[in-house]
Amino acid sequence: MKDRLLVVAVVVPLLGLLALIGRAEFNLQDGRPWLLPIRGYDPRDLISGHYLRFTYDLHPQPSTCGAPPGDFAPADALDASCCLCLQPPSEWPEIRQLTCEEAASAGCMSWIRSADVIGEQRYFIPEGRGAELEQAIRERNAAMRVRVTDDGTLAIEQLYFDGEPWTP
Amino acid sequence: MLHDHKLDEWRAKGLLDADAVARIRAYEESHRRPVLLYVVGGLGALTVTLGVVAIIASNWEAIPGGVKLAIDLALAAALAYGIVASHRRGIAWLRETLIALYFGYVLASIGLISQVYHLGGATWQALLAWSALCALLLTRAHSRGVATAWLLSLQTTYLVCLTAFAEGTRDAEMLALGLVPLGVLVPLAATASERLQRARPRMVAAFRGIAWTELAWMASIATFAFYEDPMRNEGRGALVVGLALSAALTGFLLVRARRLVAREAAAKPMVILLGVVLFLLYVPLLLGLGDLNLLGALAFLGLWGTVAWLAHTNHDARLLNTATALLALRLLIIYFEVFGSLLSTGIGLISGGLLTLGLAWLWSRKRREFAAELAPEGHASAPAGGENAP
Repeated sequence: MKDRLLVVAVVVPLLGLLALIGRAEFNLQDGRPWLLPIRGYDPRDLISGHYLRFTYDLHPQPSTCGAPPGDFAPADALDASCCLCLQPPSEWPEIRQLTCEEAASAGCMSWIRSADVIGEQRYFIPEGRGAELEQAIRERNAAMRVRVTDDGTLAIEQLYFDGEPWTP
Repeated sequence: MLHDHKLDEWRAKGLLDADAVARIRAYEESHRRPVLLYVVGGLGALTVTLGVVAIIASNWEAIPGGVKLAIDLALAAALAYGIVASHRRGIAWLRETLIALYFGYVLASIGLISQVYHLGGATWQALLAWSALCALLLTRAHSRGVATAWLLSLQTTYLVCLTAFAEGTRDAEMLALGLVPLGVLVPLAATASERLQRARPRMVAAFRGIAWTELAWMASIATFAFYEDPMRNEGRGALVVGLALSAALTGFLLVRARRLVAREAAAKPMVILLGVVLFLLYVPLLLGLGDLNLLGALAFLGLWGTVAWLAHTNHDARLLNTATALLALRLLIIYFEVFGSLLSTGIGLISGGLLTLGLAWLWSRKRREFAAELAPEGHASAPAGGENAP
């Protein structure tokens, strides 16, 4: 009995790791692809260790959610309590900020929580490519190809420069 | 062998007879472990591991994510198999070592998965997943070292989660602050279980040692709230939630105070100590006290005086020495707090020096007395100038 419990105890972490991999893989396979423009999170310090620190550079059209524009809040500011509705014309989406209930039922091609794209994001980069990336993100049009599942989960797929994938 | 030399010395001094020496030698011979084999084997395994790590590290960028994850899972499976195999062969030290290794490896694997898939989750999510996945595994460990690592990792996870929760409003910050002591009181309450005490005595010892050390230091730091209120007024009421939960856990521990100590006589100081700790952790912050320097000093003395009483009744000489040393140190600090301005004068220096010498003399004398008093049966008449004397 005790032996069997030990077997279960050592198998649980393995199954958990497999589940994490399976979920991440499912999000990438199942999600709809979009290209979202990005910029450096802190222009003075874009690279932190092995990570590129970036933020999504999204400017939604006039919306039905979020704080009204004022002196300190531009009309296209993102609000963490809202959701973003993504619609084609192409992989570069047109974006509207709606309440999450609206976004899920408004016939959006995809929707994501605004909170998921606000603030600092990180993208793993190989050692030694930091300087090259730092220059590229300043001088070229950078974007992140993401996958968005039907339940609004966003998974990062690959970094793009000028519409072309960047290969590590 | 070291013990051969000591045995000869003790036999020459008449402390052991020839039969006893022969029995000790026979016992040691039968329990001898192939230390050299372990060292050579360990060095070999370490060299191979370092070589594999070096090859992987130098080709890391060239290895596709899927291959990295496959190797990672294969190594995890090998560790899992090693734990079960060493358990079945009855090699306890290997099982415990592999459990500790597997525990750390799972966290590293979560990091690798988030690296390969660019998962942008928060640190608390990764730590929570790690703690949940390894919880059952760690209940199977028997050693004090693994139990220590487990509790410290659980507390780290708890604090990181509380910190994430606290971001935002002042009320959330205060609520989180009030909940911090639960990270110590919950494991302490778990050690009151008789079933756990029977099944995992080393785990109970590790949990209890860590929890009491942390509680004593948290309460000691809390006495500084008597000197200066560290909080602004808003949100203070949110501490009540933490106080209510901590009071409930303390009540549970009060009922089971006898199970927390080795001797019946120590149950009463244990009850008082639990009450003092609960009071110090919450009341000064809740009431917003400040500028009560004397009360702060007395609270510290009261806390460590109760710890010393508990240690004395529980026959714990090491804790008693620590508590009395801290009491003497705090008395010195009180002297300098009160008469600090005299330090620039000759009289002030002389009286401060005399007080230091007097306290050191009193502490070393009491320490010898306590050592003789608390010595195990048959050792009570050990010479005061023996090994334990300062």
